[in-house]
Amino acid sequence: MDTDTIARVARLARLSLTAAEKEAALRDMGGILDAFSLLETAETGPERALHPLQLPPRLREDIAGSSLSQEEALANARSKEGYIKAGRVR
Amino acid sequence: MRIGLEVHCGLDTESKLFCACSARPSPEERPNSRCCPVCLGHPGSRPLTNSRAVSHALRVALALGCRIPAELRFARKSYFYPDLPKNFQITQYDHPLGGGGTMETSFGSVALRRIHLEEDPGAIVDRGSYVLVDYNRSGCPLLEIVTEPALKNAEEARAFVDELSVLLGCLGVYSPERNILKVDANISLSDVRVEIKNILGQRELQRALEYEEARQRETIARGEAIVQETRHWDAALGATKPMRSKESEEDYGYIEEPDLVPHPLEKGWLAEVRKALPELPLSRSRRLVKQYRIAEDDSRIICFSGLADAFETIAGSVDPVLAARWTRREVLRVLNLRGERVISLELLRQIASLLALVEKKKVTDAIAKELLEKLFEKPFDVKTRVGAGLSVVMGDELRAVCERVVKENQKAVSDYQSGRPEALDFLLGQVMRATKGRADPGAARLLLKELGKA
Amino acid sequence: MPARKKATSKQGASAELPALQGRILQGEITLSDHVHEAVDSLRELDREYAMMTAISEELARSQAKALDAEKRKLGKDILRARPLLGLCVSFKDAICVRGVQSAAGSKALKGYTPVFDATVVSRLREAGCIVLGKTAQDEFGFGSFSVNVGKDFRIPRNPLDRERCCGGSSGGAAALAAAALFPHVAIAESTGGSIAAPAAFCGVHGLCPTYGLVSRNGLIDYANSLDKIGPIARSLDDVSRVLDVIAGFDAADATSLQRTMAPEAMPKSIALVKQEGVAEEVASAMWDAVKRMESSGVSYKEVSLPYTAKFALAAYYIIATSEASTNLARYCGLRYGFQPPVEGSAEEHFTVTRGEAFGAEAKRRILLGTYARMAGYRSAYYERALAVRSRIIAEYQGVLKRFGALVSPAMPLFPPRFDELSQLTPLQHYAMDHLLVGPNLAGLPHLSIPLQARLPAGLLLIGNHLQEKTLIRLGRMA
Repeated sequence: MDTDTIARVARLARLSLTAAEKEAALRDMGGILDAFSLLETAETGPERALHPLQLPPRLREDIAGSSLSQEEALANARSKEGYIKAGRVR
Repeated sequence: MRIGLEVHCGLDTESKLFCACSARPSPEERPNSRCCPVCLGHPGSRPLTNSRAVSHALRVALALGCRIPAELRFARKSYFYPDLPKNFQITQYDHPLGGGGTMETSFGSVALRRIHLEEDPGAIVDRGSYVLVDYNRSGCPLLEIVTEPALKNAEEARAFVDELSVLLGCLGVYSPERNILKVDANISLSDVRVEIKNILGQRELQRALEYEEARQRETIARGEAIVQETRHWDAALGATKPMRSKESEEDYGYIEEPDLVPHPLEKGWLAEVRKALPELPLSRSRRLVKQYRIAEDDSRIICFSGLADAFETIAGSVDPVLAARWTRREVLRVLNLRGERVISLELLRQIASLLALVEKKKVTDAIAKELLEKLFEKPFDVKTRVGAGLSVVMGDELRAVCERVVKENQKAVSDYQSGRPEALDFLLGQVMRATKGRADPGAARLLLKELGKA
Repeated sequence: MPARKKATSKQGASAELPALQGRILQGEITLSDHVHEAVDSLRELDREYAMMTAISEELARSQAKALDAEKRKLGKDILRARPLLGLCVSFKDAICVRGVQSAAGSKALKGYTPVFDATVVSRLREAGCIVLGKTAQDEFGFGSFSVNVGKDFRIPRNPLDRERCCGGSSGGAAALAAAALFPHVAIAESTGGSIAAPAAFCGVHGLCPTYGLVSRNGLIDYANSLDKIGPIARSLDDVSRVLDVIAGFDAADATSLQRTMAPEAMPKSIALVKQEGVAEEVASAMWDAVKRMESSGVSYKEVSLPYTAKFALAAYYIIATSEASTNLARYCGLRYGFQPPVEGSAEEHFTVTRGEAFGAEAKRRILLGTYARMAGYRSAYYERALAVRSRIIAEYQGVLKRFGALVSPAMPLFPPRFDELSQLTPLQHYAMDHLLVGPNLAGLPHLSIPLQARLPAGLLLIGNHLQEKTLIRLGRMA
């Protein structure tokens, strides 16, 4: 775990970190990952448990239901002309 | 040159892929008026997979000869963009719904890599210094079809997408009026692969690939190396432009979608879907040749352009060989000119009527072609129109016109007698003018030759 | 035991709801009056212990009014339609209540008012419960002591000792369950132990059901394959009543079980999980409880779960943070929650927003989870952890073939004081979960029962999938 990796991971997660947070990350993450790397020694079989038990698989019938009104959809948002405003992408 | 494509087709379903919002846009709908907590990415919302989207996708996968996995599994593909409500897309990663596969086209077999299901992001209105986002489209089902880099040039790429569109329409899973079609392409002239993202529609695809091929050739000619990069197609500018390199270095951090349970794709279900597959273009093309004794390449083009139904309808009342020729050439030409794909039943009836008249020589080819174009603009009753003075001028009527033309154009006649064949063309032109194009040119030419003999 | 405002025996607590319902049906008291008093009492408690993130007074009053009108119409029959009539409920802040701020204890969702109720909320409202408000928690569930609250949120204090933490991440829920003087059940949530831990620390009962038994529709996610909603209350009867209402198939949740809870059984023997690093007094209180059960006919045997003991903590944190880091990606200043003005590029806006919105622990877990999923590390961490999880589940199943339940302390220590906690490193914080991550990873139902000791501690009973009723039966004997 080095500053470059922290920077890359933070960038992937779109997380800005203060200088103190970067230091703390450097300190903590390394130790945590070392502790977790003990998993390498674990014996495993071919099975992977995405869920802890068998769940009944289900599909939904293709029937259109009602949607939220525009007002409800935007109720929690900072909207503009009925759209969600975001920063430039170019 | 090698080209590979990633085609994203909207699937024709009533509701979205993971929620019950309507997947059908209504005309003039307001932004963000066809959404719910699921497709808006509200915290606490849960996805539920649309069964018809799955059966549509299976249809396509089976029609393309793909390997089908034992289970339907989804993954989270993480990246950040304003049109992505959760900042991850639910898609398929290492368990695509279809592996491998082959697409039969009019120009040969094209090897496929995979096809899979995923959800559509929202739509962005770019205002330069900021963007506006509309999530109405967010969550609509998309089928992604990935080819091997097996296409050799822009025309093949264009044809591939055209014919894929026909196939999907034939399978009843995609409708060009209602569903979108987006293409990402990768193209390599040398060993370096350049990706071009987000091309909307077949025409833009051809333009983009032609531009990119030219750009790469020029770069090589200048002695420079081609940069392996991702570019985007700017339709307004007519050029591909590099994307900021950061965007193409995204690590998608895939995990399996833990809100969904893997769904078994049982042999019984697959057998049902396979049984219900319609006749696909390649087999149909072969059948038409056998059944109607038409030319192989006419048949091929008819089937891969989606005109097989139209042809078989017309061939019910007109000589099939004539019907095939006209469908493959003139009907297709007018459709392409108009950028259309669909022929209404009414229009089809009139086309059949028209071709019946051509068959009986009641109307010249030239007039018939004109009438065909007019029919597409607005269908009318062909018999009535032709009856009203558009019938072919022939026999005695034609002889009379030719005699008059010869009499009035003595200079041209003597030019012809002096061995100048273009003079005959001139005379023929005069005959066509005099008959308002209704003369049978073949017959007229013969008559003029006879009358113009020294 | 340190003084509580009102010392109510477990039996006393159980009698509270039926007694209240009796008084309402006799016409001695209206629900509106009762709720009025309850809200006043709640405000007082909240001033002292800071266990609430929102008090939904208007909602509670309108519910009480409507139920009073219904009672006037139906009389005693109302209990058939509304079996939990009069029970006040609170919801962990991560559970969406329509029209009430639901922020999962985070600045990222400050001001977010859901347009829909979580399924558990609608089921409880349907049953006649009164919604009092949202309870304090570690931000998004990231903690075992409710000290990792979001920016601008308050840390809840233990009603049994104000200098001590409540446990977490459902600290506010357990605190209110312990301190409320009116019939009340706190609806909480557990990912790695966040129901059992605070229940143990606050001296109340906490039941974490089988994964998939209670719908997650409307639960703001921490980790989708690990999150479970469950009740915390002073009375086991109330835990049981509430469980009956909230459990059961929900079509809106694709991971919802269709099977129902197994009928109650009486196990002949239980397995005592050999543990290390447990405080002596806690261990001794646990032994007392085990002896009590033995005298009621339940024998015990010590067993060890070596694979789980060694690898469960790492597997849990890798899976949980991997899922959580994707779940938290949506908080970026658009659509809901904390939305600073849009300036510059979308990227910049996201990055600045998320930097401001999340607390230190949230950032730490996002970084961990993002790393564990990256190409190149994914198979060593995320994929590996899923395979280890499979083996852990098999190890539990092996023991549960021979025993009706497993037993251990819920937490290895008494509730720490706040100053003690601040000395710990993040990794030491994580290690506190070591008794709880196993059953949580395996989706096994588990129940924490208050032990008799100098300070609050809990006895953890772990059952096989869908054995909640058996656990409750065992719990009565402990």
